[in-house]
Amino acid sequence: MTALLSPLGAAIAELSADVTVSGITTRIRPVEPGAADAKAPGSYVPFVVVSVLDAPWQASTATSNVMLGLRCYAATFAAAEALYLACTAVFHRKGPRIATSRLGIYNSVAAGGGTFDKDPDTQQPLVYGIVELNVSIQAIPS
Amino acid sequence: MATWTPPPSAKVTGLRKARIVWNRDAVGAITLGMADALEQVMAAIIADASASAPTDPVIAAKRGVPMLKDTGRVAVFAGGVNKSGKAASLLVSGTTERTQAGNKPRGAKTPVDQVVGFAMFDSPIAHLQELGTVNMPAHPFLIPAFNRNVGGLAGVIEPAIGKRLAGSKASVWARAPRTAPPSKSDTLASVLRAEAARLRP
Repeated sequence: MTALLSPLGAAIAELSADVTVSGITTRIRPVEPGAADAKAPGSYVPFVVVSVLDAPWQASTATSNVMLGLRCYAATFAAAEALYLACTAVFHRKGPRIATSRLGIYNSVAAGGGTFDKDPDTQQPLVYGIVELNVSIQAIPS
Repeated sequence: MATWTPPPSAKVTGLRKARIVWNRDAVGAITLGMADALEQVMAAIIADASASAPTDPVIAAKRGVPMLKDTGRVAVFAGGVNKSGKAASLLVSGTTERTQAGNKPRGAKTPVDQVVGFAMFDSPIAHLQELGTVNMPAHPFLIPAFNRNVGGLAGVIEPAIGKRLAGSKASVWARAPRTAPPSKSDTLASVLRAEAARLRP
């Protein structure tokens, strides 16, 4: 059985492995926050939610262009921005590499974001980010 | 002042005799053609995104606001001359009254030397739907629509520019007589034969 080639999983693994990001938070979540992440004002904790915005397969190559949305939450706007910058630095122009799942990542860039906002439910400060990964749709042989 | 002396082996092979004329009308027609094509693609993006945008008519009616899918709009900006006679990026086309009032998205840049198109939704919840909140996963509808339709720009930009140029009265290029290009069935030999016959005294 082949390993699941998840670009979202690979992105979360890269974020979790980064020293700067893990120095700020280890709460890197796919799709939605963890059970104890979203807290009331005064007890905010930093966390990151990564979701897939679009993943069209390329017409002429065995690759997919995956757009990931990052939501970087923290106690203050400055802390949220620091977390956002740390997260985007993990991906921006990092070049070809192979994830532990054997997913090939040919290139990745920070495609947009840096927008400040507050969550409508908890009022926690956050910064949005969008990163783009050009990935293989087949496992790269070892 | 920089000077340049040709090496001994260099020689002047020709001089440019043609006068280069700035055809302002043709450049304007090309700019407007690009704007037309951009508006066409932006409208396709909005139509596609509206079709996949979440709808909740009950909540919209309760709050007295339009549904997210009904708030899409398009705006295209291009360089021109404003009322003060200065170069500026001006709204050349767009949908809805809000666009016509000149409202640009906050923080959006429209350089004078570029044609810039916007496909956007005037809803305070649009970005929350697209990117998600702590209590709601992301439901992206605009980025997928953009990716599906932006490739169509290559197919519409040339006809749109051609249409504008053909309608440009002062465009010398548009009025210049053109010979029909050889069809694909024509062989190189037959084209050369026809050309030789035409040139024969």
